[in-house]
Amino acid sequence: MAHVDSSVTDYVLDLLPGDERRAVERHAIGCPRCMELLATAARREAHLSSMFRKGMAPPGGRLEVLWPQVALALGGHASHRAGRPASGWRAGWRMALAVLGVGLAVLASSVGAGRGLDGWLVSTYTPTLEATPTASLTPALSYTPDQWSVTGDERPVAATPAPVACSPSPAPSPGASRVGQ
Amino acid sequence: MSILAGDRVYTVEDAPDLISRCLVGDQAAYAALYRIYAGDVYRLVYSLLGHREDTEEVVQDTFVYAIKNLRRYDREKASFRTWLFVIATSRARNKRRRRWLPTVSLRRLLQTDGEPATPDCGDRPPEGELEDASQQRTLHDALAQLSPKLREAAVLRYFDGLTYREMGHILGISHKTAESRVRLAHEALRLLLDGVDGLGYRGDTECD
Repeated sequence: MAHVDSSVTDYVLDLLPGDERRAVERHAIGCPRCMELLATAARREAHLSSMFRKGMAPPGGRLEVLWPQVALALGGHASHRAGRPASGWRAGWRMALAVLGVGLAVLASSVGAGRGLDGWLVSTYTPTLEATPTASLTPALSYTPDQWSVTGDERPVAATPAPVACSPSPAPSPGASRVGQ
Repeated sequence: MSILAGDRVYTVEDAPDLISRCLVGDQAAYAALYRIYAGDVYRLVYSLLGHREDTEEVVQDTFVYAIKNLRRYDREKASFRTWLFVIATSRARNKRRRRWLPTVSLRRLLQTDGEPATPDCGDRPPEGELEDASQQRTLHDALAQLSPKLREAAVLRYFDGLTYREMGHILGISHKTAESRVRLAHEALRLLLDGVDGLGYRGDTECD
């Protein structure tokens, strides 16, 4: 068999049919030049593969930071699959919308009864958007960095905060319904 | 490495059981499945996109979609990792199309996005690994200069254990086409990396 120069690429890329591959190997056993050629090409491919895997790896601890967002998106799906009542932030928003709907219905009936809007809009509910949120920033499926075993040179990472909800003002006037709670 | 407090470490061999648990809404199983495969999905997507932020979005989208659609996974047709790679590759392609990325140097792309001029490889490597980091950046730049089709083929080539049939499945092409693209990508990388220490393709040796 002639030297294997033209077959080196296909050999290292596993593109040769079985019998051709064996023929190349039989030749290389008796030809130091071709053996060196194949060995060099194989080492280079292995080194490239190693560099590739190292270079494309995520920064230390980063995958753990990404998980809470995935879990949040799956929270409703998990409850649905398990047949339990929905939980997590989606259920919270649904509940809030339901209460809002009831409140609006009460408001409409009161307006229809002649009470007017002033009393409701001025004093009963004043949403506040504080510079420092008072709501919990813990995601529905909470985790802390401690739950991921952090070793070696992994960087500490911060949890991703959940969306902040408005907090209604406390102590509404007696007899007034709370809208939006 | 533990997944959640008190849980054992899961491996690829646990995947079939974890998938079954995911199908009934076991959230701990979701996390375990993510932990097993997220690294490989990240490597694949980052190799295709070369952009950390986009990569993270695609990784998250991939797992959300995969877990929500687990009933579509057929273990007779492909391994779970291959199935994940199909989803991830599709989303990476969509992300790339939306960004309208031309085939240019990754270094230039990162400067345009306001990111550091060098690919984000985490903290500066300690002494003794600087050469590796330099080679990784060179390889990353070379991959970025390939066409998207050849880049995909080259990227999948460097994942151990993927057959050409699996590559074809992931890319939506025949295994013969996958072989052809890998051969072309290999030749392109040979030209791009020629002369680079440790990565270069030296010229053919002289006949004795």
